[in-house]
Amino acid sequence: MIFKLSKYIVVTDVLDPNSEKQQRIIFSTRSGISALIEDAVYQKLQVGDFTGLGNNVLSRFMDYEIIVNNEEDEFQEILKLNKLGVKDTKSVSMTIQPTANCQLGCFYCGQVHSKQTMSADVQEKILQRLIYQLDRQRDTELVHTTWYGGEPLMGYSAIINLSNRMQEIARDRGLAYGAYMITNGLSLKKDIFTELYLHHKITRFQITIDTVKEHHDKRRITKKGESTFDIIMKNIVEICALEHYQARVKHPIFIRMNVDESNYQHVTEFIDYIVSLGLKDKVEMGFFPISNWGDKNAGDEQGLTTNEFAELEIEWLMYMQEQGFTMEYILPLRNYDVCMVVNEASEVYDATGNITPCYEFPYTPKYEDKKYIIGNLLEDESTYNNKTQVRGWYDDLATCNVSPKCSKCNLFPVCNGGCPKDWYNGEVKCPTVKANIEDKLVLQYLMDKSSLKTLM
Amino acid sequence: MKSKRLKMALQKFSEARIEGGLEDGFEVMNLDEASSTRGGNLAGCTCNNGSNYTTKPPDCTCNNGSNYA
Amino acid sequence: MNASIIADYLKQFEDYAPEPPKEADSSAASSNSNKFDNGHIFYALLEYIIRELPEREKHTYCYSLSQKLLRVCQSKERNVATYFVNKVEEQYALLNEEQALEYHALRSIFNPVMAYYHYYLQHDYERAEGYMLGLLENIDYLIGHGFLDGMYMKIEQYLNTARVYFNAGQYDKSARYARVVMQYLLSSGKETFEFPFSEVLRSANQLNSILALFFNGLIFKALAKPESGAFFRNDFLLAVFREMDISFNEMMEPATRDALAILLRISEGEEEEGLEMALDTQIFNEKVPASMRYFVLTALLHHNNAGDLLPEPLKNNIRLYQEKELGLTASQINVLRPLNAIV
Repeated sequence: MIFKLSKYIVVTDVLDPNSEKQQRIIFSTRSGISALIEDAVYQKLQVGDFTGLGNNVLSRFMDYEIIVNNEEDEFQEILKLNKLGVKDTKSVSMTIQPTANCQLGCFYCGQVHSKQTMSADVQEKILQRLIYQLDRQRDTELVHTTWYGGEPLMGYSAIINLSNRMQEIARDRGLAYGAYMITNGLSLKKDIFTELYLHHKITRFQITIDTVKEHHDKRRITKKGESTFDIIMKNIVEICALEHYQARVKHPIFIRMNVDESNYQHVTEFIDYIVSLGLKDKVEMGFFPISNWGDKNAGDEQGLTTNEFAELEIEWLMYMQEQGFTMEYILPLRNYDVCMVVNEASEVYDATGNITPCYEFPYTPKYEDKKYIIGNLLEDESTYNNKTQVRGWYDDLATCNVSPKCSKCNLFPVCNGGCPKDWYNGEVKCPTVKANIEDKLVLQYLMDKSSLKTLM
Repeated sequence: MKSKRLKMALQKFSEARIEGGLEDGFEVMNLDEASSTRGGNLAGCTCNNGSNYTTKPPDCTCNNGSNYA
Repeated sequence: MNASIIADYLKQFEDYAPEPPKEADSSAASSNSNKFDNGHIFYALLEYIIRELPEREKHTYCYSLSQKLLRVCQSKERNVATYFVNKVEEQYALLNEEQALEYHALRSIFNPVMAYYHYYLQHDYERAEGYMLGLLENIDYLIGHGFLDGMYMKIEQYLNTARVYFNAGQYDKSARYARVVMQYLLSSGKETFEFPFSEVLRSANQLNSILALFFNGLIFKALAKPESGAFFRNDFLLAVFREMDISFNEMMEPATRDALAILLRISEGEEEEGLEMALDTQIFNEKVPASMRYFVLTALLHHNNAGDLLPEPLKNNIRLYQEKELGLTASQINVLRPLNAIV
């Protein structure tokens, strides 16, 4: 048998060219392992000379998929493993949209909102569908819900009813139950938070604040044009002051910043603002590039390029470290699933009863075609389409029907294509990590080995 | 590396760092995190047999006990 | 025996307090530790093959494959496991029996993991049995070839085989394997094996650590499964341990020998005598396997309902002792009645 260096590795430059010990960081995307490696060892790996490696090292390199069987078509092997791995997910994940309504009219949002909330019939059908999924997936250990909208809190009573019943089903079967919520934060008063956090096991509330007031209030406004920044921030501050705020998890609130060319310069200012409110140990923060959504092309119109965003992201991560935010791990992990779309145990249920494989499809005119919709809960199951386009992502990749770039990309095992929907739409959309993985490796290394703050 | 600030931080770190070679020319940095998504522990040893040996698999973190319940 | 005598004896648990959690013991992972840490034999075997045969990379690849399969089995990744099973089967197909050392060595690396896969993920005890019995032949070859540490593999495979048969409900067969290996480990002779265990044993600590693993593996399993016999008169345990005609290994912890004698006495229906022995010996020390201490403690608490005489704080201490010292989980305590009924 002949062996080779895997093509699924990322290697940094020599970290300190002036040092006697020439070391690099090597990252195996097939295993998610990162390691320091002496340049001399790396040079040998590159030419396929493994004779000088000790038995220990050889065995570890094989274990971490750094050295692999030469006969393997690595891409096909990864896909095979991905398809199997997705089936081993031990959870049933539901994304539930209890309403199609939302107070906000954000310019980049692709959804068309209406006043429809989820009927009792649809709620019953969701519960039946959950039981069907649990019966089908005998290894399930966790029932997980993501409450999404529209604005989910505008369908509060459906949340409470469904949550109680789903927790009961999980309890009866001896399964764990957990939930997240994606909310605009406008109605998230401290009492509501308390109820949802303590009794409905929602342990992560993702609230979007598009940086500072000046910019947030230009875009995350109500449909009547009213500003929302002050109300949302007041809610967050009050919630963070609750005694039980960190009773279940360290960071129940995750603040998401959607960033484009109009507000990227204000990210650090917003970080400062969060620090000034004393929230740095209470909330988690993340930055996301604004992208196209449905028929709204905000990403094309005013989004940052992948390279621009990637460079800024490193600066922001460092800035947050400098300000004392705790960040433990920033490298991508080896996952078998690209996202929910490849996992049949993961479905989105909207207020009308539609079942879709991706949460960007509901209420979005661009995705009304039946190739995007599994079916409707109120219809007979025999009408369901189990072969929606995105569910076939790995098969299509295997036969090179879509995204030929992925098969050549060394980051594929930790990315798995990023967003299948985008590729099917003909958009070439690599995640920003493709442009900053080397910097992230170095940053993670410094975070692990030093107190980064002292280095800046 | 693209970030100038990061480059400077790395340089500062390298200067302050006491030079140390890597055992076997290699040192894994993120076993725990990488293992978390892969189910099992990626550490080389997940042994279910035998005794202590002078030759041990890399990164052994195993405890007593057999796999067989 | 009067219940109050037992209650007096159990006062020794009045001062029991769980030890604070220990810092990670780095020495436990050091290569010179004497503690039996249950592993590394496969790696040692790999090194042996590498010394004896060419194609280091291929053999390392096979070792790595078996480790990957083991890992995904442990984390119950049923579907991913099939991926590695296929890879292992590809390697089986390439093996040539005429190249005997490679054949037996690689099968020794693959067979236990394949057995584990069928046992643990598929609950296919027959196929697991096939791999295990094959493995015993492979190990014998390796031992004959000079890989004496293969004896560690052999003893564990006896235990594993006993476990597989036990879970399949074949208690007689299970007890036969368990008895053979226990006789070997407890004795100072070679019994039916190639050489006495002392020839590869590193230290007394190691022996006692191995014995603890084996005793606990068998006793806890038997007590938790009423089909294998009544709690106090467990046919399975009697079949394994009764009337061993051996000269006991001097390195064996004396208190463990006492505990075994007590366990047998009680199991044979001589409860009074057994409990009297318990009161005269010092078996409630950490050197005695937890399962034996648990068994005797249960018998003491049950005898003439002695447990009912204990004051509440003492009962609580005994429950704590069960959990922290004997390492029983709440569900184990519930399964392993009847102590739970009292404390």
